[in-house]
Amino acid sequence: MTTHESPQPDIRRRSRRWLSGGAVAGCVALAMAGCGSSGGSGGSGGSGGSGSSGGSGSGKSSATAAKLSSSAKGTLTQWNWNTVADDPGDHALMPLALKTFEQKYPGWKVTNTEMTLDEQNNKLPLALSTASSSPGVTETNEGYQSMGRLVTDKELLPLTDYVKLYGWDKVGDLNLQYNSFSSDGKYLGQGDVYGVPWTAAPLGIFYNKALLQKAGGTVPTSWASFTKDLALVKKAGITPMAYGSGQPTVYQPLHMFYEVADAMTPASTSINFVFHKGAKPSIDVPGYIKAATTIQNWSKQGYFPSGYTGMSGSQALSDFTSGKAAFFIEGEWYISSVQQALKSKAGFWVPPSTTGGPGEGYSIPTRSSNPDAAAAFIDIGLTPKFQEAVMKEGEVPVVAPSASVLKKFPPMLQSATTGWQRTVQSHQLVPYLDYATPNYLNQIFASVQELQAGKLTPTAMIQQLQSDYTTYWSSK
Amino acid sequence: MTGDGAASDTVADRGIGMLLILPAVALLAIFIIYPLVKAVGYSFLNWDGVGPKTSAGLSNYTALWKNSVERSALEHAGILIVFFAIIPTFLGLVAAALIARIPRKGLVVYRVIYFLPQVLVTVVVAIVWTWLLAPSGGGTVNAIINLFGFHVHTAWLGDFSTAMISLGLIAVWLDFGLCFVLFLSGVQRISPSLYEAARVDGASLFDEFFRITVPMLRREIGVALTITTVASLQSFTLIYAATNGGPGNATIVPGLLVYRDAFQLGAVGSASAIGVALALLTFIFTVVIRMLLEPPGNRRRMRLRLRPRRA
Repeated sequence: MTTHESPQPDIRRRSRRWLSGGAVAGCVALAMAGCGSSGGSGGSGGSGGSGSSGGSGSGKSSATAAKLSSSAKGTLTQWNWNTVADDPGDHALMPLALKTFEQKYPGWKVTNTEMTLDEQNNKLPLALSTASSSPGVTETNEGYQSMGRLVTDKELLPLTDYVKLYGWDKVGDLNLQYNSFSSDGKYLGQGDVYGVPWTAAPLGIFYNKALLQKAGGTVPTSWASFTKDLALVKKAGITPMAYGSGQPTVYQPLHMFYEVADAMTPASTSINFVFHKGAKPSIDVPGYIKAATTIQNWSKQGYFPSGYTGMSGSQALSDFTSGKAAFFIEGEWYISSVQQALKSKAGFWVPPSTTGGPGEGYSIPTRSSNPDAAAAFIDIGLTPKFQEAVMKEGEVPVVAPSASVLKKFPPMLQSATTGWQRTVQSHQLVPYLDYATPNYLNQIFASVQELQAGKLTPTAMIQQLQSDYTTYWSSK
Repeated sequence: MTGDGAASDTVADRGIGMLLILPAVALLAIFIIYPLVKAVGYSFLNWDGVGPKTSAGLSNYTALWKNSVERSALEHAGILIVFFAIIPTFLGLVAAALIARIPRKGLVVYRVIYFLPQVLVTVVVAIVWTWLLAPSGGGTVNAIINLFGFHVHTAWLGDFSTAMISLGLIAVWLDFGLCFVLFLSGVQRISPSLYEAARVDGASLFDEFFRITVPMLRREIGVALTITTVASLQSFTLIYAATNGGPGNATIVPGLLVYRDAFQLGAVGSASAIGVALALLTFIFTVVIRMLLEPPGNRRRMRLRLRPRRA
């Protein structure tokens, strides 16, 4: 995968590195194919039910899902990829999670096996296929290629019963839809829940207050005021947007496209598109074409830095943190870097409708030695104390903190947190459009570049993306 | 073979010969032949590597020209052959020929310097070149050009019109050294007296080059062209690290598509088909190179053998 240059771990990049992780998984799978194993075939325990679509899911998690009794004894093997290099924030949280669990259930020990995301993507499909090699609870990666594939191979337990037992659908804004799959793993966003996240990651717009003041603009509170600011900043001779679409970068052009589209299209259109719901899910709608036109106009008006096609994502970030550009459209995981560099000069605005997703979730393998213990471990992460620790590491919690707790943290993190809650609760949170098909990431990225270079008209771009989508889904 | 052929070609000798090449053949069979055969099998399937296999017929192959991205990839591979193979070979020949005419002192230093790009890790090469080809900044190619009074701010690897050529020029930089070193060693075989004799006979520079140097270096040219052509058809790392097929699909190459199909999209059948097609193309090219470089005498003799002798 591309080199990891951003100083703060790019959660999006991590959670999407199935792109490279799938590589190794694919290698090993191919090697194993020669040995005749056909992947996990209907394991013991969780049968996955009848894979209902839409709504509450009727699969049974296990014979009896129960809360772990505090007098029980045992060892829970736990896997994650929160290495210091990949994710220092989550890495720092692990000791707290383990300690809290072992305090609450004194008879239990939790082992902590951390590895890189690539290693884990490599090991999971095989490890989960036998009871002796399967961990008791493991972090998984959302999306078709990682979690979807494990669901198809019946290696993950549907968590419906535990969700009901622990109230995970009520405790916070976990947006469990993202971690749900139909039982054949074919449809994301419906059916049973297979993963539970501890953190959240919405996209938004970073802004530099000092530069805005200099240009006579105001802190953006609506898309209209944001657009006005762009023009004012440009007139004042300041680069409006920190942006790069050269290598190594994959996400910022897409994230920008998503944020503009979200401002111009009803969230339900995009949500139904990604989760393939309804008769003819489509983005060939006026809102998306308007978004593409807007981006093309921005290119013509010079809102992007000169030479942006040759600038990398980390250069874009450093342009913003060094005060050279007024806006930076990206994900909340850059808050720590921006905070360090610009402190109170910067802010983070989550538009009324925004793209984003939960952080990686924990899942329970079908062959887990003790699903009840696994569920209890997952629940530890959703307690208020732990969620506050999440914020201390500069990440967005999934469980809303009380107002007094929220005030303790930097304004940008507060905005991201309240923004997440607001968009989830108002159903204005849009999943990443590139989740719609396995190849969509490459296709959207290429289209945005062609659009910005004037090689593609907005209508042609959207129509092409729509036809790529229908081509893929009609072959399924 | 002269001598007592019968005595030196015993069964025992043959047997020992077989044993000696057995390890190499075994490695070849396990790591090259077997995967190739398997890949051909996979290429007719729709398969993600783990789940059920369904037949795809010839669709993975017809996609090579029906799918616009795959078509572009093949076109770009063709363009890269020019930059990986033809230009470096030609430049290497010219450079070696020039060296042939001057005293050959201190040549070792030049050989090392020009060959260095081959020794560097490709990812490092790609990344450093992205820095050099950045639109602005100290030490970039643009900065050097602008020293001469220009105002160039092109993003060489980011603009649709310059990305492919820029990659190509990186490839020339990479492969020139290899060709140069190959031809240099060949040129040192050519006796200077040949050139002197030619000059006495009134040969021009052109004549010397095309009538002496090139024919004498036939074998080395064959090796250079083969190695570099194979490298260009298989190229992956350089493009992946420098542009990842971008901008848009302007620099997409078959190697990149194989990687994406196999490991990102779970489309093993499609990846295998592209791989098999690449292998076939590589084979065809090497055969063509071989035939083109066959000495004319042999070709005549080959033709003669095909025609029946007239009494």
